[in-house]
Amino acid sequence: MSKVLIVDDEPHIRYLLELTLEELTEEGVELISADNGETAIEIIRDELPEIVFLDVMMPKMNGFDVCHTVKHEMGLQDIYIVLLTAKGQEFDRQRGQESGANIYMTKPFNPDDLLQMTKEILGL
Amino acid sequence: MGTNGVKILVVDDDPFVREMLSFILESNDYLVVSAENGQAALEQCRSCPDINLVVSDVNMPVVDGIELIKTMREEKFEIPIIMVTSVTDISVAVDALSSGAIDYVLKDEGIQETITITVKRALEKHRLKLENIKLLQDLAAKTREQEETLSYLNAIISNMPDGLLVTNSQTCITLVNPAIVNMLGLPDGDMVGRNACEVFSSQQASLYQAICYSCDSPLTAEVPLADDRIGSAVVAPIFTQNTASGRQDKFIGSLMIVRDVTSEKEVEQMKDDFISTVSHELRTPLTSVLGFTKVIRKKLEEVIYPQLQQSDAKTTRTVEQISECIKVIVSEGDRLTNLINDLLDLSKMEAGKIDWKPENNHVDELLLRAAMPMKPLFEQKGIQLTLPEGKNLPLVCCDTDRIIQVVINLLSNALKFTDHGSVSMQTSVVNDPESNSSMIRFAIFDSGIGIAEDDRIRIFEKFRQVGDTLTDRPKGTGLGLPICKQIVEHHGGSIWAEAAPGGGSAFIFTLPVDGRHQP
Repeated sequence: MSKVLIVDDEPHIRYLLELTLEELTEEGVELISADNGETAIEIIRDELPEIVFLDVMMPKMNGFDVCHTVKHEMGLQDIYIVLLTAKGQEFDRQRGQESGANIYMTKPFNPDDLLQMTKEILGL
Repeated sequence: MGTNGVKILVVDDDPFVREMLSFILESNDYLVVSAENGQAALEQCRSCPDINLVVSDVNMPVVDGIELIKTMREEKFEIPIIMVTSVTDISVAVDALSSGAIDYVLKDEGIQETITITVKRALEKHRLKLENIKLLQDLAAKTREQEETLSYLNAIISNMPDGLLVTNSQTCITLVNPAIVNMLGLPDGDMVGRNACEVFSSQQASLYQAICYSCDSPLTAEVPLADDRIGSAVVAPIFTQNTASGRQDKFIGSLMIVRDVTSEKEVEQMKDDFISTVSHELRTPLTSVLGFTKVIRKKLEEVIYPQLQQSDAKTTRTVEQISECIKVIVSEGDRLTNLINDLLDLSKMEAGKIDWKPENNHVDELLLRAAMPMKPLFEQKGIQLTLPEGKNLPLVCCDTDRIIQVVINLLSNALKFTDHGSVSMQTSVVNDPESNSSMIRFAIFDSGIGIAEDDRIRIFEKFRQVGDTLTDRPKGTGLGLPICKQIVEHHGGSIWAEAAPGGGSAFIFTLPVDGRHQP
């Protein structure tokens, strides 16, 4: 069973992502949420999700650091990480790439595009 | 008038000698006055300032010759005195000379000739003496003037808030001001004469590099200053100009000016942080608004609408109204997103924080790539879009995405303000008279409402949309054209608006053909 992890400190955004990806649950995909980076790391270690939607600006541990930890320290290169950021600054994009994220999406994103992308990654 | 108007005072208690001397001198065209003793002579000198020479006897009643000389010197009369002494009195002559007489004449048979020669010689000697004094005074004045200029310049250099350091052609320091010593935290002691490479710290090595490589043109470098401050250094070569000898300008060293830009940097950083924060704070709620609206639309369309009784007129109208409302929310949300993106873009460009990616491009290809995504929008509105016919234009070196952004911006403007007719693009090669170089000229003509002449410059200013801001619905972010201007000018081109033939507007921009202005 595929797992998708949603990490954002904003409950609205988490809910939006859950609603957007809701129809995937009918295909047996499990949606998991976390509201900070530390919890996200724990869930990733225990549940090994296929995809992680990761907000950049979060308390305790930011998205760049979570991504770097997962990809480089935990050696989980196969986990597809989508960095979601509200910042459109060029250097953020660069930092995102350096941290090893697979793709970098700027808020506001189009829910349909996001759903489509998730389906493709999961091979559905 | 006598010889050159020279007036001589003859002083002697013997009327015969007075007469004789006066006669000799007058016959040599001198103007002569006389006095019978030193006292009378002094009075004459005091009342008659135009006396040029005194010829005086030594032994006289009341005030004698020696006394006369001394008194005249005391009273600062700059009149030369010739002493007339008797043959037996040589020691008196010595006395007279040591007291300040300019010369002496012996009272003998030859006096007729010696007096004229001596007078002539004394006058010449005195003239030279005065000239000499004047030259010395002039020199002293010039020296004082130069000292004043020098101390004036020194005061300016010492009090300059910017740091100044000058080196000779061997990179040895020839001048530093107190500001630069503090700013760079230079070692104590006299800097002058030391080589620049010895005095800079390792973090300041770039400065020494700049000095070494600044022989041709000025260089700018950022440099860490003492106390964690940041400086901006400009290093420029110094050339002496020697036009008189026809020699070429000679490189004699470099000068460096360092300015503390810490607060400017802080303000810049604050501005960046501010824009970044504002952008973040705006995007987050916008994500919810737009995202949920789109989710609602989808759910309505997929789940709710199919279950409604389509035959009911009221229900049908409500469904239409809801769809229309959602459409407005989404399009306004998109507009807000574009505004945030444009704001970020513009502030980055103004701060010079864009990574430009220069590439060689075919002009036709650029226009085609820009026109592609616009085609459906033109078709929707029934406006014809014409691209230029394939011409063999030279390649243009530019940031592909950015120039496409410019063309798309101009095309969507043209579409926005054109309700009927067509929009066409034209390209040509023109010569820029200012730089005398080839430019590619891009022109986009529309058959729309046109722009009043007064507004054609204003539209390139930030947040300027032509028209009544209260009644006209804003049709964009008001940042599109300022962004185009930034991009085009960064490439070394220019952009402007004209009236298109037959109404409508023409937007024209140019890009240099050669890579002079590589973005």
